[in-house]
Amino acid sequence: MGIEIDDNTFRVTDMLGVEDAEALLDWLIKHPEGTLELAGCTHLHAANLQVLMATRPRICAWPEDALLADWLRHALNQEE
Amino acid sequence: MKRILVIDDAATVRLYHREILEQAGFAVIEAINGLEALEKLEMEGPFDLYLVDINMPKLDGYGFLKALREKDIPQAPAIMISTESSPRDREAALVAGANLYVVKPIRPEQLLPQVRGLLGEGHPS
Amino acid sequence: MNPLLDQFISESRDAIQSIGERLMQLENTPDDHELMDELFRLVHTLKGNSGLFDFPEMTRVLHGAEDLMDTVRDGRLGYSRSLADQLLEAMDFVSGLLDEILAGGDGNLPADAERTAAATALTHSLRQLITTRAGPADPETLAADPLTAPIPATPSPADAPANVTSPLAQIPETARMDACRRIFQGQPCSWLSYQPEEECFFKGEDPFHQITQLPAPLWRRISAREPWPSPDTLDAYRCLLHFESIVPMDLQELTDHFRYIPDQVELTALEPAMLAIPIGDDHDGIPTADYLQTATAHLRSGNHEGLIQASRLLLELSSPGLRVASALRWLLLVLETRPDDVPLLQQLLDNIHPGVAVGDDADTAIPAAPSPPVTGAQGMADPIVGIIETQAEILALNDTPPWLSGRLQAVAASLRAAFTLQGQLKRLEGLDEALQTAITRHTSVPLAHWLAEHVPASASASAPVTEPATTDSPAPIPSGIAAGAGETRKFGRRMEDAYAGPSAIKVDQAKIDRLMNLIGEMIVAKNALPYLAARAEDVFGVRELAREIKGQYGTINRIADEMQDAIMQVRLLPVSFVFQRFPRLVRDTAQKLGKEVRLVLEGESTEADKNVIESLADPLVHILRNSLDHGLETPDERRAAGKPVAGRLAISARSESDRVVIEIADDGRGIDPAMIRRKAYEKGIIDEQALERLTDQEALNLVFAPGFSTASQVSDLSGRGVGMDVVRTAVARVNGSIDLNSRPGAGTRLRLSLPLSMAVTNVMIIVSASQRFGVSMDAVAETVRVAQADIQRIKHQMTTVLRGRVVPLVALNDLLALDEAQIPNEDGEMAVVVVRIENDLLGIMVDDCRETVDIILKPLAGFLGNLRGYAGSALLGDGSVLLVLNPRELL
Repeated sequence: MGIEIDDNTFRVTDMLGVEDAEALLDWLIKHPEGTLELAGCTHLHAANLQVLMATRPRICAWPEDALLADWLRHALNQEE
Repeated sequence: MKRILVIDDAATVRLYHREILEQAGFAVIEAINGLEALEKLEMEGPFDLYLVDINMPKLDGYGFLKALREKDIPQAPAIMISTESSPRDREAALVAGANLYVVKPIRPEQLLPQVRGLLGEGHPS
Repeated sequence: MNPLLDQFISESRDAIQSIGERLMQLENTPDDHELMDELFRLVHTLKGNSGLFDFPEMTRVLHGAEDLMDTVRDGRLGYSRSLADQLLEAMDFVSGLLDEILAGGDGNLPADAERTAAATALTHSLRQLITTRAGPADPETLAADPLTAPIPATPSPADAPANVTSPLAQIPETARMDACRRIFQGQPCSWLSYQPEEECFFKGEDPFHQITQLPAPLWRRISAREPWPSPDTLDAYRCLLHFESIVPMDLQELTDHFRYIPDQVELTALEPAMLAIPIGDDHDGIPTADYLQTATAHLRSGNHEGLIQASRLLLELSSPGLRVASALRWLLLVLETRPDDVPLLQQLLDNIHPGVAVGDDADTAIPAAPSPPVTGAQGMADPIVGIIETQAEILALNDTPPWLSGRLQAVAASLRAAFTLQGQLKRLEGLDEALQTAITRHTSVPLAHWLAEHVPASASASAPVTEPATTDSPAPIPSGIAAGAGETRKFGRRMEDAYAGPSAIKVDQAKIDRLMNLIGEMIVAKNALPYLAARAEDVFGVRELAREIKGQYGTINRIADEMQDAIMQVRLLPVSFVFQRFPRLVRDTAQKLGKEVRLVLEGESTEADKNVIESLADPLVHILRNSLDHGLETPDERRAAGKPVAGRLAISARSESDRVVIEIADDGRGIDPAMIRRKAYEKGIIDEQALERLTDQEALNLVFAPGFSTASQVSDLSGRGVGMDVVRTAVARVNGSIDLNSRPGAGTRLRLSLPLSMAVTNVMIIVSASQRFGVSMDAVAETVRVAQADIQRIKHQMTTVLRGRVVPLVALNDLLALDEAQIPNEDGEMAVVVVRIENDLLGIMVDDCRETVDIILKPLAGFLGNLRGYAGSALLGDGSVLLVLNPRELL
């Protein structure tokens, strides 16, 4: 439930649970230009992951957790 | 104390629910199928909440719910508990008169907030 | 153990038992739909219960079984023997797990790769039945198992195109080389492809968590199993993810990690040969022929330096994007780290032949199986939000069933509760009015309107959600309140009946035993009252009191008798408790022996004490196996003998006064007395004289003699050195008897007679060497007084003649090794208890015979338990202990 929203930024402060995916998707649909700030994100449930993959939002800060950041970069940029 | 009627043909499931609910301070009454649930309703009802399994002998969960909702008694919420997560099963449950549709396996941390929500009873903390 | 687990194990055992029975019944009536429904439900319940615990293998197998039974119930698949076999095997597996859980004691089932593999295999074969027989196959289940169909390990030019399908070929060379180096350094690496089920979120799974728990992969790709839908049609809760990676873990660890969802992952232990796949464009114009000649020569002669030089040279000549360059890089890698791996080097050299290009096209490997999006995310969010959303969904239903009014009231009740919990009581304004209007107009609309006004859908996501999460201020309600509206979906489930659940309660065995022991003690204690009455009169001289005590004794006696009778009733079990295992036993055994058998069970509802019934199980199983193995002939033999091809095996039970009689009859080849005589003689069981003297019946009874086995070879089924003597001993232990009848060529019949109850034994008290002993009245034929003059000695054996029959006599003191002579009465007569052992009479001389009493016989415990000759001990009314003799064992 660690979500803070101001104007055009969706900030994740700890974990995104399964129940947050709907809200995240909703917000991203309504804010196609919105930015995601994931610095404080410790984990996100797979449902959120697929929301991100399907919507490809702008991400202004990647998680501080290097392992998670790595996974997300791979998922969203498909670097190989 | 709020009284919850737990309807399931599996004794293990009934015991499981009983343990969760009693620990949370609710009174639990059990029925082994829809028919027995209707009898309990007649004798000890109405209850404050119903936890209903779908697949049961004699009278299944759908049948029980419909019969319950046709009764001229104070209507309390019902949670249907299913193993099927398909939208079709879910809708059938809602049509029959369930107020929530929950897919097994049921974990206490999932069930209790829902039960409290439907009973309008908050958690002390 | 905790009560829930207890309950689970006991309910599961019952269900497994019932499943076995129903399957047997289905064998006779394969079209019985009620039976199929019942079977389905049994498996379904079992699976549901197992899901409450952490027994993934059990749940998996049961899930497979449930799906199979669902297919059968729907008529998509007919009953067949192989189906029954599969299900029975699955149940055996579950049964075994239950044993393991029980043995563990703490309700845990530690991970075990073997078990996981067994569960996977079992589930696979269950599903195989569905796909192979149930018409249009499910593409998912048809997909080749990656572990049984591994990536080709040694790609040669001939099968190079096959490499295109190897998911490993899509991985960049650098990553594969990295993995290969690690493997060479001793770090095992595995290939993982994890495609979670679409519905997995609803099962509480988080695939991303599963994946991030693993060590950082050497390579990874996260994709979707179908192109991502546009955001506004995306269902966040239908999992489309597909993870692929190379993980620095060995296969075992990885298998353990995914042991809950083995069917969603493909796991392969990586070998260098699998990774060394040269990729790139075809190499026209590169002078490979000369190189190959030199390289092959160097490889054969083991000249690694030469091979390295030649390879480097060619690599410099080749453009890096060519397949030949790739092959050379691999070659050099292997030469640096594992120059001795000649087969791998050869494999790489083979790749340099001009041939079909190895594609690096990754897309072909992703199956595209688009299916219509499914909604159904509600109920997972914040509980209150979920509740309100669901009520909105119910109100959006546009049906008007007869129970609409009740449904509306329940919706209103749910909303009231949810809002109350939110502390938003003022939101409830107008709810009752809206409800009333809705009920009166027999439509959900007014209530739906009310809800829409009070919970504006648009107010949700745009509002800042900065408050900390507490139960009082949940997240705003997301939109989607109207989800499900306007969609008309079919539903219809028949009301299920036919399964007659027992209306009895289950009581723990130990509790009943305790109650019985208490009643037993009560009966014994009550026996003290007559002594007390006698003392009141004789010692204290108050006759009046003595009479009152006797009066009270009468009342207590009657109640005690009724209590005893009642507890006996509780302990009664139908013989079906034992019989129900037989259909399967007979079926399996007959199948193994290649015989055809028709099993007839009669009198299954005959009841007897639980201990008696339980003690029957093993002897009966042995007798059945004997009949199947030795009694019944093979179909050919039967045909030749002019009998029906299928043998008949009948087991019947009935009550005869206070005994239960069980007969096992077959129409097999019977037992030949002459053969028995010869065998017994050969084995030294009888001597030459007996050979002549024995009647046919007496000869037959020799099969019960220790050390006798009628089969010339001890077969796998009935053998293992366990003969009919063991059966007889087991039956005798519960005061039963057994006799055998047989007609050669026509069949054999065994008759077991057992007491209905073992709890209370009527014993005669006898006195010998100034001690009191008990003898079970079941064994006593009569008591007589024999004048000393009438006792003859034949050789060393004392005998007497009773009604024209010679009866051997033994002195109890001799049997008990008491160094005292038996004392005759005043008239010089010896008291003799005549006992029946099998069909022979034996006179036991004692000092005196006294009254008979009912006692609760307790087996001798501890060291005394090894004492032969005693059936047990009992407490008498005066507080003394009575040792009860077992005449058969005394001899």
